[in-house]
Amino acid sequence: MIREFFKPSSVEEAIKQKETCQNNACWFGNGTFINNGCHEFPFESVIALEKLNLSKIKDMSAEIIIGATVTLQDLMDSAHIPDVLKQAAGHETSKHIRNMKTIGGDIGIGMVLSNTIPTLIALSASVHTPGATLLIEDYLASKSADLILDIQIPKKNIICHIKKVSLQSNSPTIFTTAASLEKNNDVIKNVIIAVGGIKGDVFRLKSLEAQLVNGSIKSTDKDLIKEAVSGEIHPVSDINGSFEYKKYIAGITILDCIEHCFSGLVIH
Amino acid sequence: MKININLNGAPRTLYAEPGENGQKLLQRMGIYSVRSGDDNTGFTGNDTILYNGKIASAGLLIAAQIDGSEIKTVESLSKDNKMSPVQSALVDMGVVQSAYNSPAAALIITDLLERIPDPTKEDIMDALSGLFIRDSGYEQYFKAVDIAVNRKKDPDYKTQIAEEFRPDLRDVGKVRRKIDGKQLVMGKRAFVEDMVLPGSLVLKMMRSPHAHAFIKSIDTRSAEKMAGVELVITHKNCPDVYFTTAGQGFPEPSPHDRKMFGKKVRHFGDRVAAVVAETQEIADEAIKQIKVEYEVLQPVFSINDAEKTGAPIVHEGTVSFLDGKPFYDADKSAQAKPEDGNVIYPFGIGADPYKNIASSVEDGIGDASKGFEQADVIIEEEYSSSQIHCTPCENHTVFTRMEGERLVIHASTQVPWHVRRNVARIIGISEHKVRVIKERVGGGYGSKQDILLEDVCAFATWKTGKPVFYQYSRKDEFVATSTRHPMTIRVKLGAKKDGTLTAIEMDVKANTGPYGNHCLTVPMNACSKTLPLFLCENMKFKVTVFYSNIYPTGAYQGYGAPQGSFALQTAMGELADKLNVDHSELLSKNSVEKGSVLEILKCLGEGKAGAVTSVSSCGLGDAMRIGKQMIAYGEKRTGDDPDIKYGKGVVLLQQGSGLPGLDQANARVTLISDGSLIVHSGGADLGTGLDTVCAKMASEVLCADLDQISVISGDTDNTPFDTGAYASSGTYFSGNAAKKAAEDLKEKILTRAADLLNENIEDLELEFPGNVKGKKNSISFYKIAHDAESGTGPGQLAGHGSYTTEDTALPYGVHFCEVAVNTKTGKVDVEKYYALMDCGTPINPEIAEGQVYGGVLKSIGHTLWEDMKMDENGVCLNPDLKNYGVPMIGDIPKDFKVKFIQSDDPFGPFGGKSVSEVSTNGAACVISIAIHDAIGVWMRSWPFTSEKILRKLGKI
Repeated sequence: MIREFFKPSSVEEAIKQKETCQNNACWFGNGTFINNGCHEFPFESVIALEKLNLSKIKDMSAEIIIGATVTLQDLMDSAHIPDVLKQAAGHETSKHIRNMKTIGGDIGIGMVLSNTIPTLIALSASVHTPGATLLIEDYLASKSADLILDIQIPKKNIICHIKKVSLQSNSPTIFTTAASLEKNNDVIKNVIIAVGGIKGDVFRLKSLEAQLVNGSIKSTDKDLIKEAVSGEIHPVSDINGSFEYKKYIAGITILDCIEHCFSGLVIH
Repeated sequence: MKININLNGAPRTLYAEPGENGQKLLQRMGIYSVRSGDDNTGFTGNDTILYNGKIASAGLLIAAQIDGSEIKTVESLSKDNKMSPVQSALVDMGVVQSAYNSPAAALIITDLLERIPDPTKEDIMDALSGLFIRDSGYEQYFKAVDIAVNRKKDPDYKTQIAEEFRPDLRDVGKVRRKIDGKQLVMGKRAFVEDMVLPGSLVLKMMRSPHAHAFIKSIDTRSAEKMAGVELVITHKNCPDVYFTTAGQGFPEPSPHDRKMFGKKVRHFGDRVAAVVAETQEIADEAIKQIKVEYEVLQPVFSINDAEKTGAPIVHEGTVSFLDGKPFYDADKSAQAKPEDGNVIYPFGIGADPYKNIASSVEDGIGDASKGFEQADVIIEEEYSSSQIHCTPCENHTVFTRMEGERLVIHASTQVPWHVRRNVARIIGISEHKVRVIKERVGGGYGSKQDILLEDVCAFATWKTGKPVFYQYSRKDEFVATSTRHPMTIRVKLGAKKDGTLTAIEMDVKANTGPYGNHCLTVPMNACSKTLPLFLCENMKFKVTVFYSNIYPTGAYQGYGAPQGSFALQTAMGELADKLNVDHSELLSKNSVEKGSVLEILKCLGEGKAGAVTSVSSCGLGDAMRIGKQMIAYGEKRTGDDPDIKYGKGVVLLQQGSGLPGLDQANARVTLISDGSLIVHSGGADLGTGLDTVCAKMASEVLCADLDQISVISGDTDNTPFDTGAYASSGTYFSGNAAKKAAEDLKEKILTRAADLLNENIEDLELEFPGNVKGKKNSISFYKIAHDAESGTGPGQLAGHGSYTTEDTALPYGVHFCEVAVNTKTGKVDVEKYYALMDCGTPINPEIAEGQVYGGVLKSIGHTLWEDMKMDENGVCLNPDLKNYGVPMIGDIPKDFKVKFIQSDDPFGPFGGKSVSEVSTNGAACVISIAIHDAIGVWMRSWPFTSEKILRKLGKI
């Protein structure tokens, strides 16, 4: 049970509090993970972010800045958020939960079942902490416990598609993927394919991305794409399906996203 | 810490631990409407509040977090004890049934209409996306919102809620507000947890970490020494009484094969010890202090393994009959392992526990072998079903207390009298010392037909003399309540080329798990509620039920009929395919109709011999005809996406209306001083509207205003005996008892009125509202009551009704559906589902509609998603609603319709038959048949997951 609940009034005060508590306290957005009764939470002290003024969405010239305590429902309601990220937020089906779960919390927990992380990766989003600004995947890989202040989504010429597979509407994600294509005058500049739900962390299919950029695999090479996916993902059988099912569904889902990204694009 | 909040517009200050759960804190503040039920995971929405203006789950908040916040609950919606437009719309629409989270629904819809005054269907679905509704499905909420929208503009707005029936009657067949609807939707005290006294002790259960083991030793000394621990109960100090948890009328065939605590644990999560303490935290800590040494035994989980020679035996103790006679011969009896405990059979039910057989039965009519010889075509297939959970919104809950020298049990139960009987017997006291009060029940669906908590909680109160509260967590629900029996059913059908059935054979194998509660009755229903649908001279069935170490099974809405229906109806589809005849025509050619003689029922009694009966009413023909038009049966749909294939299906359904010859209901209707009426019904209203049914019986018979009638029910001190609400008995048995009581009172009223009016009784008749009209004069109920209670009167007038019968009133249904199967992903979408139901006269048509929607949606869940998954040690891997896969509003069929085909049954009260259970029998088979129509593969094992579809298609 949580026995100490700190409510710092500034980022500086929050960081100081964290230093005082060291590893015995964690950040607290709205507590949808921390307070959830499905697990025993190891911390007895939390540092709440509610007074840190991190709940704004700002549409800047080069990027969109999303405060860490912006909720998933806030994302859906904002005029500044790309549709694809709204769609990802909506993959959390329960409005109750969307009203409570924060984007910073979703990244901070970094669950493989996150609905937003693959999309943010595909959008080349970065995490801004008091000491650094890191791409989402780098932040996750660092296992950092630093305070997330905001998430920055660069404004680029990107086409992005996402897909989620789950048993039914409110059940956990079995597989989620986001694929994006950055182009310059119909020239492919960058491809990002992020997948979640498989095991461990959300990750990118970098080999397939590279082959799509250099043209060694074309978006129309369906079998090659599925083969490449199969080579890069290694799911495990669990209550949501067997290894074979997950490989299969990942292959067709990713292929679908890639086809959507490339559709209408004249490849040079 | 000190917490300041603005609660429903008023500042409130209280003290709390920073981490105190928000839902618990609000209940502590007297806000009953904010309930739990999902172990604070935010899944059910039972705990919905408006938190700083937004819908949120209180269970996902903590005290420190809500300090300084503004919170609104359903209590904010109404003034002067009047319902808000949203609340009245929900009650009028009939969706306030078990109602555990009806206050949450009211709050959510109120918030929706504040944000979006004229919401679309998508807006409503989004708003209700975090609310788990198991009883009435979701379909009627769309219309309820529409009513609320209009009622906000015009408080007197009225519209047609549902189709009404029987124009010759005033209340029966008409939409009337459910008599407990207002109390429930406003979040008033209604459920067991609302009755808990301050300072009550709490009970927590220590559960087995093994599926099959002996308790070699158990040391409770440290726990007992802890401050705040009142009592620890184990096999060492519990009553030495064997019983069955099944709550059913006599003769109850289930074996008495468990004690309050045994030396042997038979499933993961079985009872090991109970701690009764001042707080939950102390109880949790005390459980950690209990030291248990187990001798782990090899478990057995599947039917296949349980029936093998040399399989681990689940019950190896002493087996006998209730009259003391040995069950086995001397040689076999000598094999008994006394430490394993006892198994006591009330009478023979084909059991052989040393072979893991809990019960078995085999019988038939005609000559099946000969029938198959006569057939031109024979099909034989096997169908299997998985273990499915009831998932009531309200977890199992009980509160026990002493009142003088008597024990009072506030129970969330379907069977108050069986609770009294079982508890009294287990504790060793006379039944007159026990009072059971059935509070409002937040969903039962069969799981509350078993007596699962009341014995141990009552024992704790009896021992300590103190009030004790015991509420299951959601995880407890999954591991320690009754579930749907997994079954494997082999069906063999023989038919002539023209489709005439020549023989039907069903071989049912069921898995009862660790104990034998309902082990005969539920699996038998796989046959007794399916075979009588067809006219076939040669029928044979065999039912074998096996003990194992899976989680407990028991009653579940439909008993075994959903599994049997899945098997037999799908097999009929396969037969039609093989015969190359239209499936609907095949069904119509062979199905029963009014007047058909059901010879097979003589073999299918539940605990006693059955009887041949004839069909007293039947709407199958009309339902088939109308349904085919509604769904454009026979027309093939195509779409733009080549990966999506469409298919349609149709099936026939049947259930019963209680158990003739076994069930009994009693009621009393009293004319009170001002001429109004009180119905005392033994019936247990589970939210199904049974109390409203009973009130309507009285209002119709006595020509009384429904508003002048109150119903008191399910209280063993204050209402007469009733076997309980199970086997679809409510309307038929308890309703008929109320009708008979009202008729008895009518006779007494007329007799007294004849004296007072000085007229012949033959010249008198009742007239609405509450008058007796003679040839010369008339007199009001008020005056009759006044006279009856005067010093010269005959005494208070009351009518008594006791209902038993040998007559059957079978409800029927024809279900149609259209599915869209994505051949790329294996996903099945139910595009259309039309449930055409013959429940006789729908007494409460809007509530009955909701029960059909709910029953169908539940069974769609069972068919496509729900499944208790276990690892190799028998541990449930998904003991929570989210991972288990219950359907939510996002999963309802796109086009979902219920239509009643009225038939006037001569035995049902005002022609009424049952409605709820029969609705659950259709989804698995009709979806299976529609999938075959779409993609040409037969799904013979539920749930039909995407992976199974893909495997059938050879994609993986």
